Amino acid sequence: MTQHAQGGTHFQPERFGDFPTMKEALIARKLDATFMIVPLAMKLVADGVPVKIVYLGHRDGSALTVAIDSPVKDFTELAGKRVAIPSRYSNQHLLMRRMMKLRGMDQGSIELVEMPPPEMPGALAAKAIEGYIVGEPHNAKAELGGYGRVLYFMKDLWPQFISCGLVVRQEVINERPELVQELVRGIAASGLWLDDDDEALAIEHRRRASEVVGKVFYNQDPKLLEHVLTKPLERVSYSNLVPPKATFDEIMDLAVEMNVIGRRMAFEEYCDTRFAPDLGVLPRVTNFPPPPAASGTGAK
Amino acid sequence: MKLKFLLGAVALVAALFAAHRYLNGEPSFRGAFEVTTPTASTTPGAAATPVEKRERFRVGFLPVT
Repeated sequence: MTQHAQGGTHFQPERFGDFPTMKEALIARKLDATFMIVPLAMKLVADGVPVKIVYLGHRDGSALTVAIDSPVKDFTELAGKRVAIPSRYSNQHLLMRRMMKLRGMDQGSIELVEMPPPEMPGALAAKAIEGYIVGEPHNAKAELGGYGRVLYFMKDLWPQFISCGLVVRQEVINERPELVQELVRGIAASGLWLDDDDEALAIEHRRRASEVVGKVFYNQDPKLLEHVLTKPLERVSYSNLVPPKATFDEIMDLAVEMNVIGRRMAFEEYCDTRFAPDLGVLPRVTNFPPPPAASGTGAK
Repeated sequence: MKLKFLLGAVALVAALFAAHRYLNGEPSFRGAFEVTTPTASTTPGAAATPVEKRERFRVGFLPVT
């Protein structure tokens, strides 16, 4: 919980059901900042929308899931199959392209179809698709439902995988940098709390986070989120959240090569990492869940 | 003569009754004093201070990692 959330500015979370709607809200200045898939943020900048990626929300946290009775045991066996991706402008899409390239497969050998993440588990259960690659908790939902099997966690395909970044309007960065700083510090502090060095504490913190996030923000079963955050702990991580130039350059190169983005941009053109705090001196989270007066606020 | 004493006694009793009511009645204050008296829940000068309006910083998210 941040200073501004408790006393001054109210950091108000706005939930969306899909990324295109979120993108339009950001362009229309109905949002000050948002967690958005990284290649889509890059695309916005390439199209002249004044925004910057200032921090990451998490690492890993996605998986490639197939039906429980699927014969597929290896990535190459997905050739000729239909696999759902959350968006053409997602890093999950670029990962599939990257994997096909690494395994020497033709780029058209796997049929990739765009699908809103919440619809993926149902499509898999109905056998409309062979598999899907997406962020949690949609993989865990199929697992716990008994009709899905995780073929790969992202740590097995692209370690420290990057899905979403915190995207802020340039106008807000210019006019209210102290609020952006406060928000980023809150995200960083939450990450340290969730990734506590003491594994038992990390599990306990993630259980508590599941309760609050599931009921207040996600409107999902806390048990589902607890599964995502604890089984295993490495399924999603909240450390190393400063946008890494080398990885972003690789994402940019892939996006240009796959015609997702029209032109290559320098890292500094779409990223602003000066808000990343020094984790060594960052105050630790001590009051979670936050006091009732500040409930409903918070960065993440 | 007796009638004069009787009327004087009645007038004295009435005067004493009126004096008793006046001296033992509930205290009363001027309306203006009551209005300007601070109450326990109001600090002096609070009415002149504008109510702080919290800014909103809207952060979008999708329920997916």
